[in-house]
Amino acid sequence: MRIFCLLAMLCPWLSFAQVSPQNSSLLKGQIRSAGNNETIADALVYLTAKGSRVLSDKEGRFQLSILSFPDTLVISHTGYTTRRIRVTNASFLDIRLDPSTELLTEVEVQTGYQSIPAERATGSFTKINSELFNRKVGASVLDRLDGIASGLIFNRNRTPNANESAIQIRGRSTILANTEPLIVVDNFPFEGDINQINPNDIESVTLLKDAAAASIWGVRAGNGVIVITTKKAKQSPAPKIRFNTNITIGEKPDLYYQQTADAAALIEMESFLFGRGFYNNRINQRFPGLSPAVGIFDDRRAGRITAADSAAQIQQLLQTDNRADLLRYFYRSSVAQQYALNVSGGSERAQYYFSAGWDKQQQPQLQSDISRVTLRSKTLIQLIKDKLDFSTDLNMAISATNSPSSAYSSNYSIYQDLVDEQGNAIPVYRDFRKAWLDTIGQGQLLSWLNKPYEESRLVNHKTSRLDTRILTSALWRIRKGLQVQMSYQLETGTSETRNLLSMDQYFTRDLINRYTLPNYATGIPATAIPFGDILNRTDQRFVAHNGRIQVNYRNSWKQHHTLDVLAGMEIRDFTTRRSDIRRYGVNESNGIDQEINPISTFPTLPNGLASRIPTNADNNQTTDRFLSQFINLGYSYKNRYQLTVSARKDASNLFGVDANQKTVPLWSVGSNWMVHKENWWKPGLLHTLKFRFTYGVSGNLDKTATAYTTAGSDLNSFFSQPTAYLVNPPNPKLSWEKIHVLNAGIDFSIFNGRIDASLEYYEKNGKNLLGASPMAPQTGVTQFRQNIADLQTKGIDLTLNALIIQKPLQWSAQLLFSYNRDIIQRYLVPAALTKFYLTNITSNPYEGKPWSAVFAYPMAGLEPTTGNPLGLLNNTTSTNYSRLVNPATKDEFMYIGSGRPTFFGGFRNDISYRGFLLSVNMVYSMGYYFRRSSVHYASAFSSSLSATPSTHADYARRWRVPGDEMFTTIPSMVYPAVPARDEFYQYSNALIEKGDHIRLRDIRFSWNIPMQKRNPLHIQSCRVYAYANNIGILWKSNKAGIDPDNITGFPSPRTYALGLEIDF
Amino acid sequence: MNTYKRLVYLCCCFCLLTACDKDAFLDKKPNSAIIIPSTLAELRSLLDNTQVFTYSPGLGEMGSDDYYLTEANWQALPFLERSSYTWESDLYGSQLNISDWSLCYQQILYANIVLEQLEKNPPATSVQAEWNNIKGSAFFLRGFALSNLVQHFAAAFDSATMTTTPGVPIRRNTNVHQNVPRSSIKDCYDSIFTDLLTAAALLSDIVPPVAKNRPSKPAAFAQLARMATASGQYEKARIYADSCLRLYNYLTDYNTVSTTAVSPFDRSHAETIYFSQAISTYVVLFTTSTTVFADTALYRSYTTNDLRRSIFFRATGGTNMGFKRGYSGTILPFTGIATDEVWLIRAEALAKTGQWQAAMADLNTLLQKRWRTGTFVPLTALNATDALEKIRTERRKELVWRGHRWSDLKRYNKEGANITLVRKLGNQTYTLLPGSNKYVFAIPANEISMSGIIQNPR
Repeated sequence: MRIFCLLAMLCPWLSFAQVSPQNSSLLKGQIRSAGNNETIADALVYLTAKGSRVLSDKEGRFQLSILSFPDTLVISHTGYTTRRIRVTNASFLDIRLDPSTELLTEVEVQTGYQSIPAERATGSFTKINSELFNRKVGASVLDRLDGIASGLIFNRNRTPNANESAIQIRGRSTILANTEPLIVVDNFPFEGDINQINPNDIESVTLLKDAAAASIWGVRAGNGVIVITTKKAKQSPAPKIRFNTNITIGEKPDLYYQQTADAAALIEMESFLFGRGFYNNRINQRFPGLSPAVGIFDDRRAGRITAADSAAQIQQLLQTDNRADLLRYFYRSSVAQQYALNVSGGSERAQYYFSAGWDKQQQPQLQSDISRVTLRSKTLIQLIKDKLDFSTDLNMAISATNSPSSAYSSNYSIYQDLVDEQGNAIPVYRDFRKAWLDTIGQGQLLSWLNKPYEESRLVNHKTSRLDTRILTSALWRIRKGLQVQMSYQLETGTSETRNLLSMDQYFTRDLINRYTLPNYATGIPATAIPFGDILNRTDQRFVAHNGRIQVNYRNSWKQHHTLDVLAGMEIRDFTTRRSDIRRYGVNESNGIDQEINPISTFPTLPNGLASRIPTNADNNQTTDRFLSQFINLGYSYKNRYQLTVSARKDASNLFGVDANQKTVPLWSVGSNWMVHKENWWKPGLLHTLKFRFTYGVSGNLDKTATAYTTAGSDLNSFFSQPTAYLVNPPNPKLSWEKIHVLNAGIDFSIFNGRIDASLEYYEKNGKNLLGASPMAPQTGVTQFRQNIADLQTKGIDLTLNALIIQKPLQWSAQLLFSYNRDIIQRYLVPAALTKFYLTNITSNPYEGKPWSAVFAYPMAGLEPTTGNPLGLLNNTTSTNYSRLVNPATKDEFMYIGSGRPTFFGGFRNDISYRGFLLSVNMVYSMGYYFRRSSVHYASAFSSSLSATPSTHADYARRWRVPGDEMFTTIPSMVYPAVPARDEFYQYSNALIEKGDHIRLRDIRFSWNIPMQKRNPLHIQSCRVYAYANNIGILWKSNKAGIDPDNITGFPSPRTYALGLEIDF
Repeated sequence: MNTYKRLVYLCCCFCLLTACDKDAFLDKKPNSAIIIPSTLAELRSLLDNTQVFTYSPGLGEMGSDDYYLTEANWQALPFLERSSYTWESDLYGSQLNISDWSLCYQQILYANIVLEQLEKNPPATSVQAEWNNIKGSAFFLRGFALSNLVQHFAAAFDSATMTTTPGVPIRRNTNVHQNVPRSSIKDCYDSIFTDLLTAAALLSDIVPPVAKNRPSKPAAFAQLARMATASGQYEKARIYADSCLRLYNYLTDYNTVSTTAVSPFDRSHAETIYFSQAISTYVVLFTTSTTVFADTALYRSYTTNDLRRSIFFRATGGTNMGFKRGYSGTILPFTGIATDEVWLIRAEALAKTGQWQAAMADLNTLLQKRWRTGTFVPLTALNATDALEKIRTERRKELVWRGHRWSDLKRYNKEGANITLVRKLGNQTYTLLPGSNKYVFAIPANEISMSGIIQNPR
């Protein structure tokens, strides 16, 4: 491996070719852009017949010897249409090049430390410019990257509790440590809420994907870096104003998407269970709620209602499906509005950029919305001309969120009516039985009815947030090529969440009632909780200080050599504070609350159990500190060979490790070779060609692992003493995770630049990764984090841009294709039990398979006589489920495939004609599997026991009579439920589906309204646009009607937007 | 030249920055809630964690004959509770982690961590008493946890085979990377006695009036007496029980206890010496259940003037009786140590060691506090055997639903009592023969697969 790296770096250096000038007449000229008249440096100039090849200098000038006239001069440059000029004499040539197309304009890569021309970059990056970024409409920044950034995927189906980031760049590189990509805004890591950034302020987004990124950004960059560059102040005598507004309307969520059993199926099940005495314990306890059907069965059995009444009531339940009411009374269309205004301009010595934005989003749930105001002011002043620049950037975002009522997250059975025909709320007797509520307290208690529909509108749960980010920076140009830059950023965020649970709300009434002891003799109850509202308050605050001093040095000598050096150090201190409190007996009008006794226990209803009043008090403070040094070298020879070297040392306040373990060194080397700039290069079919290569080591860390015994303080004990719990038993062998990253890329364009492509191969070798090794219970811990794993990720990223038709109708397309495969190469400790590979693969990696591997028990259909699912043991069928779900070896189950897409990407087509633009984006994910849900009898039974019966619609399609096994794989219902039998079916191959699908992500249509040059409003350009998002699935592999991105929950509703953008 | 001067200044700036106290900057604790437990208060707070300590296994009580179920109600229960009731060979089914086992070992790890940290931080003279008390507590809690493990996961004590029969793994350090094999029963009992005797020497004489989760010297002696009885060493049991009762012998007069209250006792009940309750995993053990009934013959053995009849039992509808909340004050069975048990241990030990009149006196002291005032006629015995029988009958009645019946059955059968348990469900009859392998619970599957220790045959 190492030797290969070395060779790859050396190979550009082996091809030096010196061409000596010959004695002949000189042809001179200057090249400018036809667009803005700016001179073009580094354009390739040569004569077709014979002669030297040169590059234009910084002023766009060139000279080359010519042997004979006439000849044809060819001038080409990335981003411009190649020109051929017939030369007949040696007169000075003033050449104008037409900018070719927007997709080929010179790209600058923003690393957050420096901006370098894309062609000089050796590393792997993806740049998303303002236009592409603003293709999507909405208040969120990160959502806009979906389907337009190569190698980036949104993990929409995350395993609950698994360590997986919502956005992933180039697959996994860790098991337990941080999986989130680092987000950098302008020059520093961003700590606040990314949703507090106004997308209209963003100029571009750059993804840094390889080791070059990590050696710049340090340990937090092991998962890639998303560099967000905001709009800059631009020099312009008259202020430039841009105004953008849009409105987005979203459909209601599709409540019918999940396949749930209907009332008939559920009541059939409950009737059967009732007959078997399943509910006896609960019924006998008198107070706990029963499901509506069980309540009727019980009333009938106890003789409280007649057979006819019972039949009529059940008949009514059979016709109930509350989803129609939920859609009608609980949900509405979402509406989002956005207004953004920015002004920029200034003189040569002082420039400014101001912006303001207002977003308001009405959520589909009642009483729930988000509004946000963002303000920004950026100024750049040249204090000493050409010597000292000073810039400030002030950002502020204020947002207010109204969260939906907890009624939306509660469970109700599908046949539980919530709203009656007149639109009145219906009470739900889920927690307590009506008969018990009618007798308890005899008027000494508050109303104990729970009416979800009423609850849905009573909510008063607000979060207000204020984020500020202040960046100051000074750039001192000591002399030509030598600069010192000092920057400091202060980022703060405060948020206050107030959930005022009024006396009208069920939660408050319920809690007060539980702590009330009715006294039937005196009629005066003993209450432990004062009357009044309950206030849950959470205060959060963070402060991040970032400081950096950096020296930039650039020198060129002997024409061909250029050296860029960047070195500096950085300090970071990030603290967060959080406190939660609860107040009782709150009167909002005068702000007074009442004390409770948090120490003593009180008898509670309905059991008479002695309990303390919950206080919900918590305080926490975290501190993250980093001290780093870095150096970055870039050497370029003849503008066609580049060599980059970077190194960084990070030290962090890791807890409980030795001082030398607090530091980790990271480095990378890279090179590129621009073949098309060689003198011997003749553009033919292949227009440009460039090879790139980087290799380096980055790291990752998990701040929860420590080398010493650590403990956390916990709630008070049963006997009101302070308590502590063990966090980590000692691990003196703890070390940093190291990730070796290799990236090799080839960039080329063909057909005169009409098609350009970038193909990259990468390999990430995570060594010494932390893994959760299961421990024998005799040790007193069940899991332990230690460095036991190696993980390899390999992949390919391909970006293909094509200009299919040019003018007047222009059709361009972009195809993104990514292949990514990870393999657990080493995992020293086997899972505690072999079955964990099926049930909990993400915490029990399997050597030789992907992190997300999907395994399944082979199921041989159903037993014809009983409908029992048949497993396979030693090639014979078996129904010994306890044995089947505790496989002795790994051979007893089968490997299905990766659980995360291995091929993915997007395909975008932009068609424009005279100011009209239509853009359609499709995304696809392929090569992966998922496990769908089906009926699980044990949980279906227990859901019914807790008065909220629900199960999968497969219940109705189960095996009932012999013969059914011919057309169903859904096992029969058995009572008592056998959990191992349910588990076997749940993890059998009968429930595995292929995840492959293609989705029409969005469509955008815009029109640049033609403007008179001198219109009274001074409008320079004006654009209207329409946008539709989450349009639907075009093709999917599974036949089960499941959207593979939404196995649980509901698909994101379709949204439609209309907007207007004006430049003055 | 000027440029180079500036560069020198710049380098100085850099050096200054680097020179500022780097170590102090990086020594800041990343999370305020995380500590390296070392102070006495921190170590005490680890032992006060009532989510780890104050819990005992529940498997034994589920296998005992204190209760019965009807077939329909049995079917409505979770798998493990169903198979416990019918003493299945495959007790755990698909369940992997059995808290009865793992929680006891978690308690042992906590105790070992505290002991190790105490050794690293020798006490100042001013806090010697607290240091001793914490150390004694850790020894007690380790001994208590190992006692529970031995009684559930190892065979009944038998002096003839005690060096060859496997007990459970004994863990005495915090090295989680090392798994230890099962020690012999003898080694386990030796370890328990050593821990508890060390604890008795260090702990305070006073039983805490409220914080019953904190061990005391009487608690250590009571647990020693309990384990001496379990291993048939009655002379030792008498001495230990006596040592306990000399320090703390309070008995509550049940005439002062409500016979109608749902919770007649609270968690700091005066008779309690050390608080513990069964783990909360099993719904069968909840005293709120309306489908778990007290054994009918047992219930009928309480006469009407015996106050325990109405304080220990409650009607569940019909003629079936359920259990009331006991000394735990919660819905879980009390499994800790109370004075009534110690009085009974001393009585039994006295009867076993030939002092049966003294034994009957102890028994009557206890029973006097249990009967309606003025109705109690002291019991008399004809001889030592009769005394022992009466004491064991009263032990069963006094300590019902407190997790003792299982180890008592193992001990009685070892002594030749030949008790066979029978359960009926519908037409099916299940029996548990004396000395059956099923008296020893299987070691959980995850333990066997991770440490490879020997499984118990069932």
